Amino acid sequence: MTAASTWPPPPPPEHPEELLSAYLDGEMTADERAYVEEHLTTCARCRAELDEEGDVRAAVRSLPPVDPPFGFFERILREGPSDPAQPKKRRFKFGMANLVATAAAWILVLGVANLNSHGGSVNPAANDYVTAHASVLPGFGTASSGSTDAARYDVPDRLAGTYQLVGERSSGGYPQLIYSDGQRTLSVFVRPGRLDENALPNDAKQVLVNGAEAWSVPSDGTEAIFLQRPGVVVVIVGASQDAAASDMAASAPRADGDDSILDHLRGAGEGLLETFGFQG
Amino acid sequence: MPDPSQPEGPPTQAPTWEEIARDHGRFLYTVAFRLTGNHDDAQDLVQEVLLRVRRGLATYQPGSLEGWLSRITTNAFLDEVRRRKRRPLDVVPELPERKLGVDADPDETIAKTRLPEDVQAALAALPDDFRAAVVLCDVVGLDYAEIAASLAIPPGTVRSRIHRGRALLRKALS
Repeated sequence: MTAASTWPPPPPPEHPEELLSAYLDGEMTADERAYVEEHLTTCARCRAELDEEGDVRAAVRSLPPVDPPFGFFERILREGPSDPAQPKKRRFKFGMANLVATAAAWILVLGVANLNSHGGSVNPAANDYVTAHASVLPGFGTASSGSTDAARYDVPDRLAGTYQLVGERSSGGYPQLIYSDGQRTLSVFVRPGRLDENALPNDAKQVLVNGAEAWSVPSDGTEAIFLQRPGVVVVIVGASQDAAASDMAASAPRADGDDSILDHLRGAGEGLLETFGFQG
Repeated sequence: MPDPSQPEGPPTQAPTWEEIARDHGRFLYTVAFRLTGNHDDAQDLVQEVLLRVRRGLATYQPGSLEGWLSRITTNAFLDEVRRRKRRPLDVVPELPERKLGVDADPDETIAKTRLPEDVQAALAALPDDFRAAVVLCDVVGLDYAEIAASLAIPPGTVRSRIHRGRALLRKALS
């Protein structure tokens, strides 16, 4: 404070502009603070600047939290985070948009049943699906067990023209839709991820379902069709060896008995593809 | 820095990505949105952060979970910015329709109330490096040493980025 007593006067002190933010934030040494405070007592310009900077700081600090779009984290928890760098994601997004656009958000809805959160590879273990399918056969009319109810979901109530939705349940944490034409029963499973084609058994054969590639895997009198669509694998299983099917065999013999199940599954697959815009 | 002796200390183990999505999603999303300035990029950034956590790419240091998460988020953001090579970010700030200054009292307009949309727009217009420093300081609440560690820059640089960032904000908001 006594510096002005000498002549010539010292050069005017530099405005410590760079230090004002740090001063506000309490991020400086005691020496720096003393210097700034002394300067502020004599410099109206820096005081004004400090005020303004304080206002801006307060404005940023008072910005409210931002909520993500509805369901954003729920979807990530269900499907796992997707890699924004992968072009795949756009396809997947498009696929999802497609689903929603066709009023078929059912995979999303069904996904609530604790889908594989990693959306990783889907093992084509046909036996697992066949077992899950067979377990509903003895009384499939009452198979809509558990806490879910097919009526809640926007799923097709009819497949391939004649198959009526008769039940829905959670199978190992995954949705299983059960359709019947009164004689035969089909199960439709939906799982996120990619089909692990390397794990397909030797007797798997490639088939076309409505122009889309699919795999047919025979298993103990049943067929399982695996359809890879963007982001999801749809598995359709049909069995011939249930009581209703044997009745059917007597009343409606087919020329090519070997292909009959497959034909029906293809028909169901085509129905799914058409209904949900699953085409490649 | 948190006191390690405090009774409810920070977790000593890295949280899983699911825990982050479930318990810290709003915080994460807020930081991502303030950094990117729009919802599309914020969503991509959040996914990238969760992926990094899931892959174990982000070493967890017991301490402030939010500080740790902010560091990952900021680094992922700056990585993406560099990857795009300064291609203009989609920083079209999502301004709600607002009638500017309708019946505004001239005396009131000088008042210190600033609309969050305006502040967000000004923030989005900052150079990325400045914005990262300002967000870490004023949105997340990190101190300068933590910001320096997060951004791997010297403390002096933190100081100048915050100062210059705020100066630009002032200009934009004046």
